[in-house]
Amino acid sequence: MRELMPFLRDLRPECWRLALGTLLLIVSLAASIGLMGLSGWFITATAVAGLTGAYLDIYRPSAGIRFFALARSISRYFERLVHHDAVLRTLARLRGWLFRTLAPLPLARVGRLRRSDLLNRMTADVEALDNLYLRIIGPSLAAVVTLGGTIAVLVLLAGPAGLAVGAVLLAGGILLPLWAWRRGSPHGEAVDRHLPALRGAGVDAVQGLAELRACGAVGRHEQRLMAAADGLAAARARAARLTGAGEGAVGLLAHGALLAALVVGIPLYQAEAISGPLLALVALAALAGGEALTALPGAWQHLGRTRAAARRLLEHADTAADESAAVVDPPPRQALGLALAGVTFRHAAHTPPVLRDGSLTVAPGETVVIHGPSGCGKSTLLDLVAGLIRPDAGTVTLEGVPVHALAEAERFARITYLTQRTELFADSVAGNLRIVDPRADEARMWQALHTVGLDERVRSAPRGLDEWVGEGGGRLSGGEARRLALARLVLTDAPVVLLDEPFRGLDDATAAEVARRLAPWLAERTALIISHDPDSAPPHDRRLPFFELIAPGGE
Amino acid sequence: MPVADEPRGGERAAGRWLLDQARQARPAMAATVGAGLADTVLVVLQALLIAWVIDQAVIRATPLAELWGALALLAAVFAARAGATWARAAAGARAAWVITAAVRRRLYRHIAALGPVRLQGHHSGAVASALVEQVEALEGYYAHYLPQMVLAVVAPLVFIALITGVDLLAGLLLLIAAPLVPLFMALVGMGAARLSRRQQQSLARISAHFLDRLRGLATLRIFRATDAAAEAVEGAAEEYRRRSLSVLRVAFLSSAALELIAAISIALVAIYVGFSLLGYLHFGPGPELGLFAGLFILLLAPEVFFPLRRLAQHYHDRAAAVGAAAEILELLEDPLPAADEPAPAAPGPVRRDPQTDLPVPDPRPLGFHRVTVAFPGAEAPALDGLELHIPAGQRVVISGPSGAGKSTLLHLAAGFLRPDTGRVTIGESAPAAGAVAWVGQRPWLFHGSVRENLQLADPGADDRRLRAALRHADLDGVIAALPEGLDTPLGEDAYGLSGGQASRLALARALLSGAPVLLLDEPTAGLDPDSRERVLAAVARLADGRRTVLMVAHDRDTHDWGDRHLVIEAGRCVEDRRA
Repeated sequence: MRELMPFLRDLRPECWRLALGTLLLIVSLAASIGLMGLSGWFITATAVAGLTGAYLDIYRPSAGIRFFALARSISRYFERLVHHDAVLRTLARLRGWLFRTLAPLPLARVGRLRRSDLLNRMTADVEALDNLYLRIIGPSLAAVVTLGGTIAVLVLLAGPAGLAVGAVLLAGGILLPLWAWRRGSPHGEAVDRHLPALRGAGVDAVQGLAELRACGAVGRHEQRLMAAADGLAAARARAARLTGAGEGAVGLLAHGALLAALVVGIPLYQAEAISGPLLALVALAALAGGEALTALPGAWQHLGRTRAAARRLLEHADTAADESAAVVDPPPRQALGLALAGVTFRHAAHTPPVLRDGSLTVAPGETVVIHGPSGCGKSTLLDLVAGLIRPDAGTVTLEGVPVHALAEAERFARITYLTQRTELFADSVAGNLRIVDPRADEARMWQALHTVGLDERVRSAPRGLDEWVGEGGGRLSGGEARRLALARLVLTDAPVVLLDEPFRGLDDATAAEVARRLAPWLAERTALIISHDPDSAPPHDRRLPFFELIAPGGE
Repeated sequence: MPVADEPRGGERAAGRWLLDQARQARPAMAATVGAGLADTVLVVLQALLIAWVIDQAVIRATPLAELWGALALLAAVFAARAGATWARAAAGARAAWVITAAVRRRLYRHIAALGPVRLQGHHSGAVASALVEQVEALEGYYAHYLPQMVLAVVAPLVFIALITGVDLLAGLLLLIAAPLVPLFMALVGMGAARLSRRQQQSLARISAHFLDRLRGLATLRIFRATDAAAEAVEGAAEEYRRRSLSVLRVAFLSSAALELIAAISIALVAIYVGFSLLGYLHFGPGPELGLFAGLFILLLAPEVFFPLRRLAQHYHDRAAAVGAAAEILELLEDPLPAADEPAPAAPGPVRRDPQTDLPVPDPRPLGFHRVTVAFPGAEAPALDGLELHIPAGQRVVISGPSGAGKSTLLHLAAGFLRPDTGRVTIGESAPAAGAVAWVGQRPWLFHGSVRENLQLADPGADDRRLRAALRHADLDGVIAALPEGLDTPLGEDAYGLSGGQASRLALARALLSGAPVLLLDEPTAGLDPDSRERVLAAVARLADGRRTVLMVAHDRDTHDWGDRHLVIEAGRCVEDRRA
């Protein structure tokens, strides 16, 4: 349970709301029990009075029945509102927490997370925690209080009959959720295990369809897909049967309480220790008491999955450590020179090195273009200079200071980087630009858009700067998205610029125009640009082929 | 009064389709409903017995000793109810299993038959998600919603009929109240449905926003904007909370209305029965009522509303299923290309190289006979009366500007695409599985080990054959260096293999398949010169004069690699040069 503690602590700011929600839930459960119990009492009392002709105050009980009926519905309504409010507040905080936790992860790991679906999983894990708040803690607490109170009242009214009801409900109420939790955990794990297999087979079926068709393996892959699906469905069916068993058991429990009330109560009534109406009240209240337990086995059954979700989230929190602690004084923020000396880098132990003993010097204020065919490892060079990855051997320095020794904030105050992937956010044009500088005014944004030749395009859009760019910039063409990403760099005041294929997706005429407009901005900075075609790169002082940087060799 | 959105035609079609699918699991669906109906009967029995026991004990002063029989019967009813509840869950899960499996199988076969070319019209992520998540989303509909839909109609009517039989007025009261419930639910619920759709949208948006910022973490850090983004994430979640609460305030009204009507009905029935028993009412059948009948009515009254409450709880299952069905239908309604010609006769026994155990194919020629292909919406045909004959064992390199029809040519040869007019032949017959090997631009590596990836082409291949294939593809050293050798798992993006290595793995696969025609779509794009040489050398070893090779290549250095170089422009062959 230790993994749940941090998330329980997280509830503290909401404790009053949660307490109010639980209180309202108690009121509604108690009213339910009251409604059935009092109705049973009332009907029996009237039947007895009808036979004997004795006087019966009918107004107070019938007012009580109406009161319980209203109280049950109204408190239930507000309970749901209050509880959801508290949970949504907590989930909002959890999202912020997760974001701050992941923010300092080494970027290579962030890339891996992005590729592997893990980010989707984490988002789902955060949402899974509402099971803990909304379905387990509140209802369990309410069940304990309501049943405790009901039993106390029944014992006061009917002595041993109340005790008998209490014994059955309490024993079952405690054992059933624990049983469901223990039995449910393996099913939850099985679902978690089979789902990735099914997802993998599904992605393979679509992305690998050409290979499957050519290999004549469409039928064999169908077997693989359906086997994964069957594994998942079997786990789901086991879980569903357990839920059904839990539901049946709760019913049996309520009915057992009713039987206990009758078996103990009838002799008491016949010994004139309790009245007939009271016997009916105890019996029907016992039956209604089961309602407090209805949802518990189902909720506790999923506690295992909730815990697994919490564990996974905490794992990331534990391993997320900022690798780049400041150990040196940063160089001043002015024209800075770059140098790589004897740099070797390979992505994995068994892959050939991308760079072998590579050296390069870029003087302050100089613009250098590195060219070579796409996919040969040029991007890795820029990742090394930006300090996103570390060389296996050799040094990368910024005005003599190793880039790794700089704190990340200090490093990126000096270096700005247009990465290979165009990463735009699902936001407006202005929203994407304000990532760089939240206080950037419209004039500056228009200036930056002008520099990359995007001002006319944005001006002609119906909503101008507020035009939505879509998920990943999907509403823009590839070239437009690239230029918007470039415009973000123009808004920074970093003295060193790294550009990875800045004109990818631009036609020649546009590329030439943007190159012309970018020239004065680049002239004031130290720039390292990589391009497969140096002739269409921005104006530069020097160019050299990438393969001159590495000692070519075999795998 | 909230006005419902006009249900869209697509939604209605999806609803009909969902209902149709239930036929595929008739026994399990019937068992689910049957268990629910059995429970309905047991509820009545239970109410009768409880009322009878209390009536006997209180009014007739029967001692406990004489009631044991009834109490034992009651216990049996309780046990049977628990059993029915379990059976219903089990049968429902079974029905969902059978139906989702059938739907998934059909969808997979449809996707496979559409083929990789036709699938390009759909977003690949959406297709995979239809096959996995959307099919999963149908589960609740069959396990819970649909059976409950039947019970929510039948059970209340049974209970009301019985209550009416005992006391007309109490029955009438419930008869008025019970239909009020669906009516009220419809009135409030339709508005709530629209609101909850909006709520779902904004929840999806908030998750998307969160995921979007997480995906762009690298960019955020380069611009030192992670703190601001974290605040924005929290702000968006907070904004969602405020908006969603205003939605929930209305959405919860429908269930609150249901509960209120149920509670007030029970209260009214109880008070009416009580007053009747006292003899205060001098109209209707009330005065003849006894405690037995009174309690029976009181116990049955809440049960009238219970099935409706459950239906309301499972309403979201329906909403999820309808949304998923719409996505699935979009794929299923994409018509399949014309039915395949009868499959060619099975090839004779495979000849194998005695040393490597690798298959040695009989060389086959490849022919395009006046082939024309036009894609819908395109101005000019992709291929325009193409006539091309490639002798068995020839190695052909194809180049040309993008959109000229090079890929179409490959897809035709692979049989992924059929010509509008004309014929494509491999040897004497049309292209079929097993006749071609395919190495795409970025060869897809399947979830599974290196071994499983290779065995895709040859399920019976043993280690000796696999190693021979890897050796020919110049990959044996790389695989031997992997941590678990042949059993190393390969991930979605072939983690641990470079582009050139992945291409060579696909070549090893092609070698194992024994196909006489090898189709390569820019296998060297994006490779450094060294990797390119290795891939091309592996292709040459593979061809060996026995395999006909058709390779699309962009870079100039590769054009002279084969025996023949074709240039395609605007769907026609404009240059045909032999080396």
